[in-house]
Amino acid sequence: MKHRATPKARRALATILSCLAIAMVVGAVGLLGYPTYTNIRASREQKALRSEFLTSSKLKQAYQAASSPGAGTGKVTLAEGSAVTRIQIPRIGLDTVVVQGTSNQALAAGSGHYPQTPLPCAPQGNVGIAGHRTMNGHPFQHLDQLVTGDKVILTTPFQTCTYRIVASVDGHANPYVTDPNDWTVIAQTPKPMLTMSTCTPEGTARQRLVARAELLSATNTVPGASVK
Amino acid sequence: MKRLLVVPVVMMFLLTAFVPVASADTPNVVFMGQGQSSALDLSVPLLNSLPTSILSGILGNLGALGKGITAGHTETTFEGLTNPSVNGLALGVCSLLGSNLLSLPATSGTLPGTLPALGGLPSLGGLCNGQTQATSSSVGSHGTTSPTCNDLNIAILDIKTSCSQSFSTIDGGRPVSQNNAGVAEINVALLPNVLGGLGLNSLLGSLGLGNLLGGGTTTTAGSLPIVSQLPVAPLVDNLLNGLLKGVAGNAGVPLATNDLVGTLTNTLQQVLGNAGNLITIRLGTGSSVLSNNGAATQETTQAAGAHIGLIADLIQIDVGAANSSVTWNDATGQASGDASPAIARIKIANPLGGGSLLDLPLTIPSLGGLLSLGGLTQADQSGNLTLLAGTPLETTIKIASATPHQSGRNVTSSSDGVSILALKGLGASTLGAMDGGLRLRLASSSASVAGDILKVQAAAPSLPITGGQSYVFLAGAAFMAVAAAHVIRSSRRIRAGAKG
Repeated sequence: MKHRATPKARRALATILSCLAIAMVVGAVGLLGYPTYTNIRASREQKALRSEFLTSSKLKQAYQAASSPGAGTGKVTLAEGSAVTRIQIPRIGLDTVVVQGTSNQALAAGSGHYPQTPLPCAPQGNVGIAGHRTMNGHPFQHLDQLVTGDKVILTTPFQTCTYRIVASVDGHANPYVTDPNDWTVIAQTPKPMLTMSTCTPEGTARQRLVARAELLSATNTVPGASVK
Repeated sequence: MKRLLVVPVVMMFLLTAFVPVASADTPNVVFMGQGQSSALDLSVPLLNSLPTSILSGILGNLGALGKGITAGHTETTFEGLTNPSVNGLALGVCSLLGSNLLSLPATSGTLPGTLPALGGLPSLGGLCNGQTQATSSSVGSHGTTSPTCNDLNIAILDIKTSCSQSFSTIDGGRPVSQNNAGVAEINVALLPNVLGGLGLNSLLGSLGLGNLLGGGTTTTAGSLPIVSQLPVAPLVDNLLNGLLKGVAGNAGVPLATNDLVGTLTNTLQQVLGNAGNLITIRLGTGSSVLSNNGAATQETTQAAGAHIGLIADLIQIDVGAANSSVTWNDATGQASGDASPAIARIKIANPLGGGSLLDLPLTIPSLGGLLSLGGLTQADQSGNLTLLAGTPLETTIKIASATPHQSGRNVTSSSDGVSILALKGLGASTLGAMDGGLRLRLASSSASVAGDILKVQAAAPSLPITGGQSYVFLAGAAFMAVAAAHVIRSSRRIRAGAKG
């Protein structure tokens, strides 16, 4: 025997469904706008980071400590999310401030410095930087377009260092694709190097795209800077 | 309506795309430990230097005891790999054992290890059958020893043991064990004429002194009527025959009875009463308790002291309880050890009654003073007294010592009521080694724990995820838009029906 709902119950159900539909529409708009939101948020963070990068005394202290005798490869402790260096890659039009750390929170600013690697411009070792390829300002969106000889410029409070994309890394082309668990990409090197990583294919995190550069020159930007 | 249920399901699916993969290390606590206590450990490696024929002649069927005996022995072994797989094992023996017959395998230095499996317990013949073992791998599994054990007479030795108890179970995923080694008593009896039978009187006789204090009966080693006339165990026959054959071959040796030694014995017994024991050793319990409070596992051992009476208790040495413990801490993955020495006292009784002539604390330094033999007596900081050091007769004495020893994460704690390693160079396995002589440990206990915290990686961490899955957001938005449109249509249809 089939029961038919009363008109009052049907109206209540219709109201609930209408509310659900409104919530779905709001959710759909939110999902659609989230990538854009991350880009806007990264842009705002970059503005603050540029200011911090120019004025932060802690950052200067960190670089000074890293360059002091006995500091080894220059590993220091910086607060996660604080500005570390400014990275410029003319070929792909990149100019962004890199923060300390590679957690999700830190990388919300776009790119982050692997904390287990030396600070940028270190006279030896492998400096590691990870950057988003999509969303969050996607600073490394076009990392795959780098070619041998391209310049990568890192600016610290005391120096401006120019790196050059090398032709090959361990016998294979550069940039190259590797496994997401391949931590050898930031293994330390006797020569001063820079390694940049991002996800690939674009829009996924299935693999990692890695580009490596070698230190070409380092120029002091502050007279009497202690950084070698 | 059913189709609407698809919406939240799909939303949940989409949300999982944003949950980061766990990559944190998971600590996994592993530890293994062992505790044991014995009322008596006695071994005589010196006997190894004797020809087999003589050894079997002396000990007869007891040759199966080999290098020594153990009385009132308990052991427990446990491990904790993770709480669900905590395992424990306890073993108690209420008997005399050849000390080379029973020993649980030592805990492995490699962790995580595997708890050693027990084989069958050694057969003890008719000596004593009070022994059990218990394996605990689940709640309620435990075992205890049986309570009876026969006394044993070996020549002038009279050894009495009571039982040891052993209990092991798992409580809250952790091992709990309690072991108590039984009280043992050893009497070295002044049996009349036995010492004379060992040949002293034959020596006196050969010197023309055999009949100074009486006696006139002589015999030969071949028949030994003197022994058969005495109320001693047949083992004495073996002892005397073996000794005499070893010393004099099958040639007849004249023996005297009712001799000087016997007379002296009788005189002493008349003066001191009928206790009649040259040496009496009474042992307290050696206990081993394994307990836990949920975060730490503690193994506590105790050598509960001993009483040594010399010359019918004319001289008494009392040793209090020595404690040793090790604690394994889950939180830190470290073990720590502690030990406290016992206080020993020496008393000299007044044979005329009325209390003691002397009652003083006995320490290794004071004992060293008493036994000073020029430069050949050394007392070290560990409480060891060494006599005749560097010679084959080197003897080490410990009284009520308790020592924790820590090496990395491995901790061993031990305590001894009395430990005597005598004449270490005699009968040693190799020339210059100090593993021979006679070894006696009374009321000894030890505990050890080895542990570590293994960092188990739940998943290999990946390089930073920098490829925001933007297509997921687009797909999710599209799906929700379609679903919203569907819901809106349904809502309108229902509302129209209500009006109609």
